[in-house]
Amino acid sequence: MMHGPSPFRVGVIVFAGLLGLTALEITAANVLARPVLALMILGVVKAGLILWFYMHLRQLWQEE
Amino acid sequence: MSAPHAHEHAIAAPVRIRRFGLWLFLFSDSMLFLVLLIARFLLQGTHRPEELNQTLGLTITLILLTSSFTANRAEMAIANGKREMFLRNLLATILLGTLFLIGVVAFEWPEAMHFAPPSSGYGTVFFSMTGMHAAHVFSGVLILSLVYRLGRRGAFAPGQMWGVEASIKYWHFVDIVWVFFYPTLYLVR
Repeated sequence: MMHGPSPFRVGVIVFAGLLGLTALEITAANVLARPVLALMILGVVKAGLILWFYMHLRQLWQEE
Repeated sequence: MSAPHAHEHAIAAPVRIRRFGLWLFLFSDSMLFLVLLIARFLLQGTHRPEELNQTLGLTITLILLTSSFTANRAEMAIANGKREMFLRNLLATILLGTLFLIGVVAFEWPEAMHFAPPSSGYGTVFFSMTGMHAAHVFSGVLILSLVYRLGRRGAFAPGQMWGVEASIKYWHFVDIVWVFFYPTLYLVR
């Protein structure tokens, strides 16, 4: 039985988040004098979203 | 363990083992890209040429992010028994991946040859990173095309979709690599 929002809706929300974070990256690159750290942190957040919601990382320690 | 549960366990175990093996492969492959990422900073610091085509870099990034979105929809569709939606989104993913490759190989590389030839410091970094990544995108497109062909012939169904899951996980992995390569090549300074 499914609980919470549909997986299709989650996919849309994550995609919107990835686009928003990409916009933040470009802003950081243009505003900050040394944006490397901010860019790497934003990259980790984007990768985390993909790993958790698109690649279903939690399946690794879930029972079938 | 009761007999029905023992039967379920016997079916589920191989998928868990395959999944674990795939993650191990992705982890080991990520080390290759991590080394390239570190080499970029060791060899060039945060230098980047002003001539880099920012519009093209952002465009191919958005294309790859969108392909991850359609790949996720394809996986969710087949998991819910929606074959037409699965095929439509998988085809979109393949086309977007191909478009990304064209953007890199046919447009970005010829431009970069002028201001950062492979013999230069930044050129070495740029062509190594984008080249290795493009090779992975190419293999991803081939694997997804095979899955698409099998899907059109009626393969895969809810609970019987390891091929879809594995190929799409690989595709997302390729996207994650670009999530780090894009700012590293185009945005740092």
